[in-house]
Amino acid sequence: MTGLLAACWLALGAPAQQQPVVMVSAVPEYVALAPGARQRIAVRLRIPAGWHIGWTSPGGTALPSTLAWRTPAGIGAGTAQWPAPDRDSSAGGVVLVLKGDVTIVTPVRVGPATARGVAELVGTLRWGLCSEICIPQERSVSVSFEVKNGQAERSPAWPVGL
Amino acid sequence: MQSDALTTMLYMTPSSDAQRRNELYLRLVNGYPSSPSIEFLKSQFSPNRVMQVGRHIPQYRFASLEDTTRVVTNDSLAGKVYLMHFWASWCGPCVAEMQQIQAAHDTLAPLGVEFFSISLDNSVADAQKFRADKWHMPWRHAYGGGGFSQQLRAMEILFIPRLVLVGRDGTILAVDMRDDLVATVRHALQPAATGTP
Repeated sequence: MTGLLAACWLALGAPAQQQPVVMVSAVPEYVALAPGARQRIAVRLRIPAGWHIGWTSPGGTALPSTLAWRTPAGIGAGTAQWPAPDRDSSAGGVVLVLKGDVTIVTPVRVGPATARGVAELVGTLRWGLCSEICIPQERSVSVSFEVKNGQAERSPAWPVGL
Repeated sequence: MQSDALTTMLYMTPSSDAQRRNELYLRLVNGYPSSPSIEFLKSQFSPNRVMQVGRHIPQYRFASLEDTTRVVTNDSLAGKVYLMHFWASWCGPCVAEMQQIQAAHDTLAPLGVEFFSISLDNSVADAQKFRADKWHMPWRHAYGGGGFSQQLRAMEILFIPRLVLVGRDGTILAVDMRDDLVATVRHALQPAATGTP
Protein backbone atom coordinates (compact mmCIF):
# COMPACT_ATOMS: atom_id res chain seq x y z
CA MET A 1 0.00 0.00 0.00
CA THR A 2 1.34 3.37 -0.94
CA GLY A 3 0.41 4.85 2.43
CA LEU A 4 2.45 2.21 4.11
CA LEU A 5 5.32 2.84 1.75
CA ALA A 6 5.03 6.47 2.61
CA ALA A 7 5.24 5.69 6.28
CA CYS A 8 8.29 3.55 5.70
CA TRP A 9 9.78 6.34 3.66
CA LEU A 10 9.20 8.71 6.51
CA ALA A 11 10.83 6.39 8.98
CA LEU A 12 13.62 4.82 7.00
CA GLY A 13 13.75 5.61 3.36
CA ALA A 14 14.26 9.34 3.29
CA PRO A 15 18.07 9.27 3.20
CA ALA A 16 17.95 7.20 0.02
CA GLN A 17 15.99 10.02 -1.54
CA GLN A 18 16.57 13.73 -1.36
CA GLN A 19 14.58 15.74 1.13
CA PRO A 20 11.26 17.09 -0.14
CA VAL A 21 12.50 20.63 -0.51
CA VAL A 22 12.33 22.59 -3.76
CA MET A 23 15.00 25.28 -3.95
CA VAL A 24 13.58 28.48 -5.43
CA SER A 25 15.34 31.55 -6.78
CA ALA A 26 14.49 34.39 -9.14
CA VAL A 27 16.45 36.77 -11.31
CA PRO A 28 15.37 39.70 -13.52
CA GLU A 29 16.68 40.01 -17.05
CA TYR A 30 17.61 43.64 -16.35
CA VAL A 31 18.78 44.99 -13.02
CA ALA A 32 17.93 48.51 -14.19
CA LEU A 33 15.69 49.79 -16.96
CA ALA A 34 13.65 52.80 -17.98
CA PRO A 35 9.89 53.29 -17.66
CA GLY A 36 8.08 51.88 -20.65
CA ALA A 37 10.57 49.04 -21.14
CA ARG A 38 9.88 45.32 -21.17
CA GLN A 39 11.40 43.09 -18.56
CA ARG A 40 11.46 39.33 -17.91
CA ILE A 41 11.74 37.43 -14.66
CA ALA A 42 13.18 33.92 -14.53
CA VAL A 43 12.13 31.78 -11.57
CA ARG A 44 14.24 28.71 -11.11
CA LEU A 45 13.07 25.63 -9.25
CA ARG A 46 15.41 22.84 -8.28
CA ILE A 47 13.20 19.81 -7.70
CA PRO A 48 14.91 17.10 -5.65
CA ALA A 49 15.75 13.81 -7.34
CA GLY A 50 13.00 11.23 -7.07
CA TRP A 51 10.27 13.86 -6.77
CA HIS A 52 8.10 15.72 -9.26
CA ILE A 53 5.53 18.49 -9.32
CA GLY A 54 2.49 18.69 -11.55
CA TRP A 55 2.60 20.77 -14.72
CA THR A 56 0.22 23.73 -15.03
CA SER A 57 -2.38 21.50 -16.70
CA PRO A 58 -1.24 18.09 -15.57
CA GLY A 59 -4.36 16.09 -16.33
CA GLY A 60 -5.27 13.22 -14.06
CA THR A 61 -3.76 12.84 -10.65
CA ALA A 62 -1.51 15.83 -10.07
CA LEU A 63 -2.00 19.25 -8.56
CA PRO A 64 -1.62 22.04 -11.16
CA SER A 65 1.36 24.24 -10.36
CA THR A 66 0.75 27.99 -10.23
CA LEU A 67 2.75 31.18 -10.06
CA ALA A 68 1.07 34.48 -9.22
CA TRP A 69 2.86 37.83 -9.02
CA ARG A 70 2.21 40.83 -6.81
CA THR A 71 3.59 43.90 -8.53
CA PRO A 72 4.03 47.59 -7.66
CA ALA A 73 1.84 50.26 -9.26
CA GLY A 74 2.61 50.73 -12.93
CA ILE A 75 4.19 47.32 -13.39
CA GLY A 76 2.29 44.36 -14.78
CA ALA A 77 3.19 40.69 -14.98
CA GLY A 78 2.14 38.68 -18.00
CA THR A 79 1.41 34.97 -18.27
CA ALA A 80 4.17 32.81 -16.87
CA GLN A 81 5.74 30.47 -19.41
CA TRP A 82 6.42 27.07 -17.93
CA PRO A 83 8.70 24.55 -19.65
CA ALA A 84 7.36 21.51 -21.48
CA PRO A 85 6.47 18.68 -19.09
CA ASP A 86 7.55 15.07 -18.79
CA ARG A 87 5.08 12.21 -18.73
CA ASP A 88 4.81 10.22 -15.54
CA SER A 89 2.87 7.02 -14.97
CA SER A 90 4.25 5.97 -11.60
CA ALA A 91 0.84 6.20 -9.92
CA GLY A 92 -1.13 4.45 -12.62
CA GLY A 93 -2.52 6.94 -15.15
CA VAL A 94 -0.34 9.27 -17.18
CA VAL A 95 0.16 12.78 -15.81
CA LEU A 96 2.27 15.68 -17.01
CA VAL A 97 4.96 16.62 -14.51
CA LEU A 98 8.10 18.65 -14.04
CA LYS A 99 11.31 17.19 -12.66
CA GLY A 100 14.85 18.37 -12.01
CA ASP A 101 15.74 21.97 -12.79
CA VAL A 102 12.86 24.06 -14.04
CA THR A 103 12.90 27.67 -15.26
CA ILE A 104 9.69 29.68 -15.51
CA VAL A 105 9.83 32.94 -17.44
CA THR A 106 7.34 35.74 -16.82
CA PRO A 107 7.18 38.78 -19.10
CA VAL A 108 6.85 42.04 -17.20
CA ARG A 109 5.76 45.42 -18.52
CA VAL A 110 7.12 48.51 -16.80
CA GLY A 111 4.58 51.19 -17.56
CA PRO A 112 5.68 54.62 -18.78
CA ALA A 113 4.37 56.31 -15.64
CA THR A 114 6.09 53.94 -13.22
CA ALA A 115 7.79 55.74 -10.36
CA ARG A 116 11.57 55.78 -10.42
CA GLY A 117 13.28 53.73 -7.77
CA VAL A 118 13.58 50.11 -6.72
CA ALA A 119 10.66 47.93 -7.75
CA GLU A 120 10.04 44.67 -5.91
CA LEU A 121 7.88 41.90 -7.30
CA VAL A 122 6.75 39.01 -5.12
CA GLY A 123 5.74 35.72 -6.66
CA THR A 124 3.71 33.04 -4.92
CA LEU A 125 4.22 29.51 -6.16
CA ARG A 126 2.05 26.54 -5.36
CA TRP A 127 2.55 22.94 -6.33
CA GLY A 128 2.12 19.39 -5.10
CA LEU A 129 5.51 17.74 -4.65
CA CYS A 130 5.03 14.01 -5.11
CA SER A 131 6.95 10.79 -4.81
CA GLU A 132 5.46 8.05 -2.65
CA ILE A 133 3.61 10.80 -0.82
CA CYS A 134 2.38 14.20 -1.98
CA ILE A 135 3.15 17.45 -0.19
CA PRO A 136 1.17 20.58 -1.07
CA GLN A 137 3.73 23.36 -0.87
CA GLU A 138 3.57 27.13 -1.16
CA ARG A 139 6.67 29.28 -1.57
CA SER A 140 7.27 32.96 -2.12
CA VAL A 141 10.07 34.47 -4.13
CA SER A 142 10.94 38.12 -4.57
CA VAL A 143 12.94 39.95 -7.18
CA SER A 144 13.98 43.58 -7.39
CA PHE A 145 15.22 45.90 -10.09
CA GLU A 146 15.67 49.60 -10.47
CA VAL A 147 13.46 51.80 -12.60
CA LYS A 148 15.46 54.77 -13.83
CA ASN A 149 16.16 56.79 -16.92
CA GLY A 150 18.93 55.71 -19.21
CA GLN A 151 20.07 52.53 -20.86
CA ALA A 152 18.94 49.16 -19.55
CA GLU A 153 21.51 47.17 -17.58
CA ARG A 154 21.36 43.45 -18.18
CA SER A 155 21.72 41.11 -15.22
CA PRO A 156 24.87 38.97 -15.34
CA ALA A 157 22.87 36.23 -13.60
CA TRP A 158 20.30 35.96 -16.38
CA PRO A 159 20.32 32.35 -17.61
CA VAL A 160 22.19 31.78 -20.86
CA GLY A 161 19.92 30.78 -23.73
CA LEU A 162 16.69 32.27 -22.45
CA MET B 1 27.34 20.34 9.95
CA GLN B 2 24.93 21.14 7.13
CA SER B 3 21.20 20.78 7.62
CA ASP B 4 20.99 18.10 4.91
CA ALA B 5 23.51 15.90 6.73
CA LEU B 6 21.73 16.42 10.04
CA THR B 7 18.41 15.59 8.43
CA THR B 8 19.81 12.39 6.97
CA MET B 9 21.18 11.37 10.36
CA LEU B 10 17.82 12.13 11.93
CA TYR B 11 15.99 9.87 9.50
CA MET B 12 18.53 7.11 9.95
CA THR B 13 18.26 7.11 13.73
CA PRO B 14 15.83 4.39 14.80
CA SER B 15 12.68 5.53 16.57
CA SER B 16 13.76 3.45 19.58
CA ASP B 17 16.63 5.89 20.16
CA ALA B 18 14.37 8.77 21.16
CA GLN B 19 17.11 10.68 22.95
CA ARG B 20 19.39 10.77 19.92
CA ARG B 21 16.51 11.65 17.64
CA ASN B 22 15.49 14.52 19.86
CA GLU B 23 19.07 15.80 20.06
CA LEU B 24 19.39 15.85 16.27
CA TYR B 25 15.96 17.36 15.88
CA LEU B 26 16.79 20.21 18.28
CA ARG B 27 20.07 20.90 16.48
CA LEU B 28 18.14 21.24 13.24
CA VAL B 29 15.34 23.38 14.61
CA ASN B 30 17.66 25.68 16.53
CA GLY B 31 20.38 25.81 13.90
CA TYR B 32 18.27 26.17 10.79
CA PRO B 33 14.98 27.74 11.88
CA SER B 34 14.25 29.24 8.48
CA SER B 35 14.99 26.11 6.46
CA PRO B 36 12.04 25.28 4.18
CA SER B 37 12.01 21.72 5.48
CA ILE B 38 11.65 22.65 9.15
CA GLU B 39 7.85 22.66 9.20
CA PHE B 40 7.81 19.20 7.65
CA LEU B 41 10.43 17.89 10.10
CA LYS B 42 8.52 19.31 13.05
CA SER B 43 5.45 17.35 12.00
CA GLN B 44 7.54 14.17 12.00
CA PHE B 45 9.96 14.53 14.89
CA SER B 46 8.88 17.23 17.31
CA PRO B 47 8.15 15.80 20.78
CA ASN B 48 5.16 18.14 20.74
CA ARG B 49 3.84 17.19 17.33
CA VAL B 50 0.09 17.15 17.06
CA MET B 51 -0.42 13.80 15.41
CA GLN B 52 1.12 11.27 17.74
CA VAL B 53 -0.16 8.24 19.56
CA GLY B 54 -1.57 9.01 22.98
CA ARG B 55 -2.55 12.60 22.29
CA HIS B 56 -6.07 13.77 21.68
CA ILE B 57 -7.05 14.41 18.11
CA PRO B 58 -7.15 18.21 17.65
CA GLN B 59 -10.44 20.01 17.35
CA TYR B 60 -11.58 20.01 13.74
CA ARG B 61 -14.49 21.40 11.80
CA PHE B 62 -14.87 20.30 8.21
CA ALA B 63 -17.68 20.80 5.73
CA SER B 64 -19.48 17.60 4.88
CA LEU B 65 -18.72 16.59 1.32
CA GLU B 66 -22.29 15.52 0.67
CA ASP B 67 -23.80 18.74 2.01
CA THR B 68 -21.34 21.56 2.53
CA THR B 69 -23.83 23.47 4.66
CA ARG B 70 -23.34 20.80 7.30
CA VAL B 71 -20.17 20.33 9.29
CA VAL B 72 -18.33 17.35 10.72
CA THR B 73 -16.60 17.95 14.04
CA ASN B 74 -15.07 15.86 16.79
CA ASP B 75 -18.50 15.70 18.37
CA SER B 76 -19.93 14.08 15.24
CA LEU B 77 -17.77 11.03 15.88
CA ALA B 78 -17.57 11.06 19.66
CA GLY B 79 -17.72 7.60 21.19
CA LYS B 80 -16.66 5.88 17.97
CA VAL B 81 -13.43 4.34 16.80
CA TYR B 82 -12.65 5.91 13.46
CA LEU B 83 -9.98 6.12 10.83
CA MET B 84 -9.27 9.59 9.48
CA HIS B 85 -8.05 9.33 5.92
CA PHE B 86 -6.57 12.45 4.36
CA TRP B 87 -6.42 12.28 0.58
CA ALA B 88 -6.97 14.16 -2.70
CA SER B 89 -7.95 13.10 -6.20
CA TRP B 90 -4.89 14.98 -7.52
CA CYS B 91 -2.57 12.85 -5.33
CA GLY B 92 -1.28 9.87 -7.32
CA PRO B 93 -0.18 7.85 -4.28
CA CYS B 94 -3.61 8.41 -2.69
CA VAL B 95 -5.38 7.07 -5.75
CA ALA B 96 -2.96 4.17 -6.04
CA GLU B 97 -3.91 2.92 -2.56
CA MET B 98 -7.69 3.27 -2.93
CA GLN B 99 -8.18 -0.41 -3.51
CA GLN B 100 -6.43 -1.23 -0.25
CA ILE B 101 -8.38 1.43 1.63
CA GLN B 102 -11.61 -0.02 0.27
CA ALA B 103 -10.55 -3.54 1.28
CA ALA B 104 -9.61 -2.34 4.77
CA HIS B 105 -13.00 -0.69 5.07
CA ASP B 106 -14.77 -3.88 4.06
CA THR B 107 -12.91 -5.78 6.78
CA LEU B 108 -12.95 -3.20 9.55
CA ALA B 109 -16.35 -1.58 9.20
CA PRO B 110 -18.14 -4.73 10.47
CA LEU B 111 -15.87 -4.53 13.53
CA GLY B 112 -17.18 -1.07 14.30
CA VAL B 113 -14.45 1.07 12.80
CA GLU B 114 -15.88 4.06 11.01
CA PHE B 115 -14.00 5.48 8.05
CA PHE B 116 -13.82 9.24 7.62
CA SER B 117 -12.10 10.65 4.55
CA ILE B 118 -11.08 14.30 4.35
CA SER B 119 -10.35 15.59 0.87
CA LEU B 120 -7.57 18.08 0.18
CA ASP B 121 -8.84 18.65 -3.33
CA ASN B 122 -8.97 22.13 -4.80
CA SER B 123 -12.74 22.00 -4.83
CA VAL B 124 -15.63 19.94 -3.53
CA ALA B 125 -16.52 19.19 -7.15
CA ASP B 126 -13.14 17.56 -7.79
CA ALA B 127 -13.62 15.15 -4.92
CA GLN B 128 -17.21 14.44 -5.84
CA LYS B 129 -16.27 13.76 -9.47
CA PHE B 130 -13.60 11.31 -8.39
CA ARG B 131 -16.10 9.48 -6.19
CA ALA B 132 -18.68 9.42 -8.97
CA ASP B 133 -16.29 8.28 -11.71
CA LYS B 134 -13.64 6.16 -9.99
CA TRP B 135 -13.90 5.12 -6.34
CA HIS B 136 -17.21 5.58 -4.58
CA MET B 137 -15.69 5.19 -1.10
CA PRO B 138 -19.00 4.45 0.66
CA TRP B 139 -18.33 6.06 4.02
CA ARG B 140 -18.31 9.49 5.70
CA HIS B 141 -16.60 12.30 3.81
CA ALA B 142 -15.62 15.89 4.41
CA TYR B 143 -13.87 18.63 2.54
CA GLY B 144 -10.66 19.91 4.10
CA GLY B 145 -10.59 23.22 2.27
CA GLY B 146 -7.76 22.45 -0.12
CA GLY B 147 -4.16 21.48 0.39
CA PHE B 148 -3.19 24.84 1.83
CA SER B 149 -5.91 25.20 4.44
CA GLN B 150 -4.76 26.66 7.74
CA GLN B 151 -6.82 24.14 9.66
CA LEU B 152 -5.05 21.23 8.02
CA ARG B 153 -1.63 22.79 8.50
CA ALA B 154 -2.42 23.31 12.18
CA MET B 155 -3.24 19.61 12.32
CA GLU B 156 0.11 18.90 10.65
CA ILE B 157 -1.50 17.38 7.62
CA LEU B 158 1.44 18.47 5.51
CA PHE B 159 1.45 15.48 3.20
CA ILE B 160 -0.98 12.88 1.92
CA PRO B 161 -2.04 10.16 2.11
CA ARG B 162 -2.22 10.17 5.91
CA LEU B 163 -4.14 7.82 8.16
CA VAL B 164 -4.96 8.53 11.78
CA LEU B 165 -6.84 6.05 13.97
CA VAL B 166 -8.88 7.69 16.71
CA GLY B 167 -10.30 5.90 19.77
CA ARG B 168 -13.69 6.30 21.42
CA ASP B 169 -12.41 8.96 23.80
CA GLY B 170 -10.68 10.93 21.04
CA THR B 171 -7.20 9.59 21.74
CA ILE B 172 -4.97 8.95 18.73
CA LEU B 173 -4.32 5.20 18.59
CA ALA B 174 -2.14 4.97 15.49
CA VAL B 175 -0.66 7.31 12.88
CA ASP B 176 0.65 6.52 9.40
CA MET B 177 0.36 2.79 9.99
CA ARG B 178 3.53 1.35 8.65
CA ASP B 179 2.76 -2.34 8.71
CA ASP B 180 -0.42 -4.00 7.59
CA LEU B 181 -3.24 -1.51 8.03
CA VAL B 182 -5.88 -4.04 9.06
CA ALA B 183 -3.59 -5.78 11.54
CA THR B 184 -2.51 -2.48 13.06
CA VAL B 185 -6.08 -1.35 13.49
CA ARG B 186 -7.12 -4.72 14.92
CA HIS B 187 -4.31 -4.46 17.46
CA ALA B 188 -5.29 -0.92 18.34
CA LEU B 189 -8.88 -2.08 18.85
CA GLN B 190 -7.93 -4.02 21.96
CA PRO B 191 -10.18 -2.76 24.76
CA ALA B 192 -7.37 -1.08 26.66
CA ALA B 193 -6.47 0.96 23.60
CA THR B 194 -9.83 2.19 22.42
CA GLY B 195 -10.91 4.08 25.46
CA THR B 196 -13.39 1.36 26.34
CA PRO B 197 -13.66 0.79 30.09
